[in-house]
Amino acid sequence: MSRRLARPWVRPAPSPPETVPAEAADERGIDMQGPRGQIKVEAEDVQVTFRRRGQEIEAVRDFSLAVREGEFLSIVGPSGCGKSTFLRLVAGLESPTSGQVRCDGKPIRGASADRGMAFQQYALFPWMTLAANVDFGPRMRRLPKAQRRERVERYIRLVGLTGFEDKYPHELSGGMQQRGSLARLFANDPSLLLMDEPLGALDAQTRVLLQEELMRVWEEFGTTVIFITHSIDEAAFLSDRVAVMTRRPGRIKEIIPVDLPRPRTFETRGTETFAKLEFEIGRSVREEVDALS
Amino acid sequence: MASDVRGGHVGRTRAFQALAVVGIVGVWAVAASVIDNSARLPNPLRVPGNAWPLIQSGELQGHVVASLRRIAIGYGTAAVVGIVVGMVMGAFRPAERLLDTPMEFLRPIPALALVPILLALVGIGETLNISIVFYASVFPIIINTVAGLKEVDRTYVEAALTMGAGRTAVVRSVLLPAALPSIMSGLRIGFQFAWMSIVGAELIGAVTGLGFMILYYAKFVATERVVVGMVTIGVLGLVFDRVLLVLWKVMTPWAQR
Repeated sequence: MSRRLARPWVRPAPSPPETVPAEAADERGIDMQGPRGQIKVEAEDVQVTFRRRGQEIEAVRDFSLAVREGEFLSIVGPSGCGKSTFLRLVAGLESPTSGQVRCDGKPIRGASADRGMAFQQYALFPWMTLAANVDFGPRMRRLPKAQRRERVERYIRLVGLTGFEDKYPHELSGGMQQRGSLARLFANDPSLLLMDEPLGALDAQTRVLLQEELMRVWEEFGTTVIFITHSIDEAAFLSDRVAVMTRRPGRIKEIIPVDLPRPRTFETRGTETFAKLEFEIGRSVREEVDALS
Repeated sequence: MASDVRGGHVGRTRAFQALAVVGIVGVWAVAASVIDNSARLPNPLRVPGNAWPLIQSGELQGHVVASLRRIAIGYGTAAVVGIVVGMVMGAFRPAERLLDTPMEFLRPIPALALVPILLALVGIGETLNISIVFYASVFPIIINTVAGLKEVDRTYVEAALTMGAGRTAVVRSVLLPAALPSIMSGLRIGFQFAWMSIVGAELIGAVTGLGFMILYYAKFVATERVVVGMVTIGVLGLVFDRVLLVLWKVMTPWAQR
């Protein structure tokens, strides 16, 4: 209950009169509705063109999206639609050919520890123990030794890996590695989490467990999350909103709000609302996939 | 139980290895006894007897130290230069484009072929001997360092950047350790090359060293003493290679599966 109060914008509550009306959601996907309406990340008419083997590839075009402070937003869409490209723009690992991506109102220039990123593979540094991996960010930020030690201990405990501090990643299972990389990510206390299919390489059971774990950790911190996934049910289970992208060159096709109460549990998956949502999101993606062939 | 079986297996392998050595030396000894002319074929049974005075007088140890000194300086410099050049080439595209062709051209030229030029350049003396060791060992170190760096997955670099790492930190905390297994095998191959070059390196102008010792006794057709030098080079080379292997395992525990 207290969590709900801490983050009232998670669920669409009746809009207070001073916020932008729902009609503000325009065809570009910019959707200002919501009680808080504070924008964490904003992409405006973004276009990204790659040159690969002499060919010009347009990854995203007319891409506009606003991500609210504290929300969990998933992006789904057909393969190669530019989901990862957008995430890399926000991370500052790439820059748009035209248009602008802003974080906290400022244009993004270069990477920053404040915008942490989780990857599907090669999550942890294989040459470092789990503890050294988690300590990487704090060490880069030159935090005092005692504080770093305390952080490493706390975040490893948070993901339930106490006792594995001195193990190298290859000595841990795939699920443990991803939990370790979550610990490493949170140890930087980023205000924005960018996750590029972080659970994509895991088996189905581990994946479900980690989704619940991710929910638990996220609900504790309330950080803004942009989550990319291929899995429709994962998007439905985790998100406040699900953004569906068109086929390449990708843009936001529609944004589907997820009206599921939190905290979400395994039982959530059995509800009718969940099934409907999954179908709705799935159909939207399917249209784009069908249009590809 | 399983370990017992494996232990027995290892024991048997060892026995076969010993048998092979004894067999080869045995055949060699028989042949040498039949020929009975150490100018044609040195007798292995006479090698220990020839080694003893060399050890007693300290001559052999002196040669070992002289060779090791050249290896230490030549190979040590090659390790530092090789890693630095390799890192620059691996991390900066223009550097690689610039240096790749001259390196590929030099690489197949044996160190000994450079001796005339080296003679003109550094003259006769210790520098010449050390230069040959350096030249022999630097290329595998460079090449393995470059390869190691190029194989580093971009994701690691990007992960570091999104955790607040700067350029220097990326090189030191990501590129270097990620490439370390490859750099270490370059160092190992480089050492083998350096060690193999020692006879050639001491061919000209040296009055000490195992290479010199072999050439010296060869002139007097003291072939058993030549074998003493060969065996010393072989044994020491093996020992150092094992040491590097252990070092490699200790320094890159994550690369051991």
